[in-house]
Parts: sequence; C-alpha cells; structure tokens
Amino acid sequence: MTKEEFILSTIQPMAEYTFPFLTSVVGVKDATQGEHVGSGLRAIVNSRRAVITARHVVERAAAYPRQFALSAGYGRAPYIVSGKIELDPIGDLAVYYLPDDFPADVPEVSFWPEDRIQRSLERLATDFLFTHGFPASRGRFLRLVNGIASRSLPYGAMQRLDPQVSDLQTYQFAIEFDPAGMCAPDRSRSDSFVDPGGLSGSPVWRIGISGRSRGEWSPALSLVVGFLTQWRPDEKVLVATSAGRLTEILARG
Amino acid sequence: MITRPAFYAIAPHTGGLERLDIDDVSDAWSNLRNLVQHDLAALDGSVLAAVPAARVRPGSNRGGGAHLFVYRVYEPAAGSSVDPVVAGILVRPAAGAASADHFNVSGDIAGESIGDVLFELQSREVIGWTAMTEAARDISTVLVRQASAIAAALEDASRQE
Repeated sequence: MTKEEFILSTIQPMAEYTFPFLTSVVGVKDATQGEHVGSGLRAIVNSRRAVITARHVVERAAAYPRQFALSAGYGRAPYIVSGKIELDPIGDLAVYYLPDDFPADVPEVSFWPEDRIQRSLERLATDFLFTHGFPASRGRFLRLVNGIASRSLPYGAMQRLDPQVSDLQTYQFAIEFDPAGMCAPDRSRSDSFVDPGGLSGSPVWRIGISGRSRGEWSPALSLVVGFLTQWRPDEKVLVATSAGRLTEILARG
Repeated sequence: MITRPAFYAIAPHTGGLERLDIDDVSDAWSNLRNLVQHDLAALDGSVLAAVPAARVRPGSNRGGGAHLFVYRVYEPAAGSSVDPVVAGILVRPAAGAASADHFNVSGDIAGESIGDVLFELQSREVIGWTAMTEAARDISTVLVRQASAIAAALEDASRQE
C-alpha cells in the first residue's frame, strides 16, 4: 500500500468518526425557514458543552431576522441560540457555551474532548490534515421544523508550505484546496457542487499518523488543530486559525 | 424516518505526501529494499553452484540507528556448525548530518555469529535519495563478485559458530 493509498483509506473512517461532532450554524429567516451560514465543532471546553466556530460565521448568522440556530441532531429542530458568545477579536474564532437546555443524549451528537484539541502547530507539516463541514451550495434554504439533514464534505490535504501563502499570520496555517481540479471517485468533475462557502468554522484535524506506523493508526488518534476561517481561491488554499487562539477565549471562563 | 446524510465524495489532495512522517510505510525505503535485495540475489547462483547444499535466507530490517539493512544469509549444509555468512548493505544517517537526506552507505560480508569480516568496502557518504540509491546499488555490484569468498567461508571448518 502506497502512502497515497493509505491516505485515501483514512478519509471515510475520519468522516464517519468526526461527523457526530459537527454542527451547522443556521441563520433563521422565519419560524420555518433558515439558511446554512457556517459549520462548527461541538466540544467540551472548560468542562462545559460548547460550539466552536468562526467569529465571522456568528456575526453573519446574527444578522438574520430571527438571528441564528445550531443543528441539534437528525430529525430535531435546530437549537435557537441565546446568551453570550465569546469572540476572538484577532483569530476569527467564536465559542458559544451551550445552555443546559441544549438536547443531551441525542444519537449521533457528540462533544469533542478538550484534551484532544492541540493548541500548538506541532507536527502539522508532517501529518495529513482533515477538515469536515457543511458546504453551502445545496440545501441553501432549510426547513427548520423537521430538523436539518445537510450533506457534509469531508476533505483532506497536506499543509501548504510552498509556495508561501501571502499575509499568513503566526496563528494561521494553510491547507491545499483547489476544487476546480477535484474529481469525485468516479472521475466526474465535481467542481459544480463544491462550494467552500459554508465550510467556515469547520474544525481541522491532523489525523495523527505523523510519527506512527500505519498499523497503529485509527481516527481515535486524531487531534483538532484549528478551524477554517478563509478560502483563498487565487492561492488555492483554505486558511485555518490555529486552536492555539482558543487559549485566550477560554481563559475568560 | 430519519436518514443519515451522505457525505460528498471528494478526493483528497495528495500533493506533498513526501512530507508525511509515517514510521513504516516509506515506499521509498521499501522500493530500495526490493531493489538491493534483487541485486544481491545475483550471488545465489554462484554460491549454490560452489556449495550445492548451502541455503539462502534473505532479509532486511530497520531501526537501531539504521535507515535500512538489506542482507542475504548463506547457511552451510544442514547439520554443519560452520558459521553462516551474511552479505549486506547498510544505509545509515551520515554522522553529524544536519539534513535527513544525508546518508552513509556501506557493505560487507561477514560471519553471522562470529562476525569475522570476509570482505568490506569503504563506506560512502552521499546526499540525496538518488545518490544514496546509486551508492547502494554500486556496492551490491561489488558484493556479488565475492561469491567465491562466501563459498570458501561456508566450507571453512575453522569458522565454527
């Protein structure tokens, strides 16, 4: 098995493993209709249930007439957000601590453990990066009453080191992303349905193979290392903010 | 009825995988092992022609500070207590090397247990995979000319395990 074959074999297990931790951020237009704005990660931080996403996703969602909601599991109406949201003024991240009435014990809804959020950039360049979120192009208008069942987009690539990405901050890293050149497994062109809009706020993992052998690897070794905040089509990269930026936000308690 | 959403099936971007740090799936090392093993196998015919009862045991290993050790062990006839002979090529990081692609390549033929060196080539320091591969294959070419030394050692009764 070549490296490429091995990497290809990790995508489906990573997709299935990470899906229960994903949430869709939905701008609410009225009592029955919403619009997918961005993606996020359900996690336990500071011993509390929370959703971590991009700050600009929250700001955009908050501009909707009825503000915004979070997907809360299959067949369930989205959870209408209320209360304080912690915003990162620099790194474009946001943390929303879920109130106690957010549904618990829902099938396929899980919370990522804080000890598996890596706040450094260690091994990013030598591991395979994986992101998973909800793109925007399909199901733009969502029926809220019966819950949301958007199709998610798992994607993987190495960190972009060369050519260097312009104006990249020390707390950011870039991931190769060129939807125009992508093919579905049947080799049909797939750029028509890959719209990275909506992926903002998606968590980024390193899959945990760096420094390990293929036989050791499982998705349970993956670590969240950042969150998507930008798509730069001209440079063919997605830009993520390192999870290190969470330190300041979480210190507020 | 609740239906689990399907994933979009988008192929990952596989550029830059040479940086991927996987312990045991280095295709390059695997390819090199196969290449050198193939080269060293040219010894078999001559050794077995001289010592028909001899047996051949190919192998390789990694670790212990070595990138790769590829070898073929020539064993004497079953029941003999003469020490087997190992023809091998060793690829190590060059001493004090600052970069990961700075290699030391050496080859020798020696007793498996008693360690008597029957033939030895001066090690070579090279930079880069291509140079390292060429060095390993050059050394293989020299080692395969030493079949007579291996055959003689397998019949040397003074070489007891």
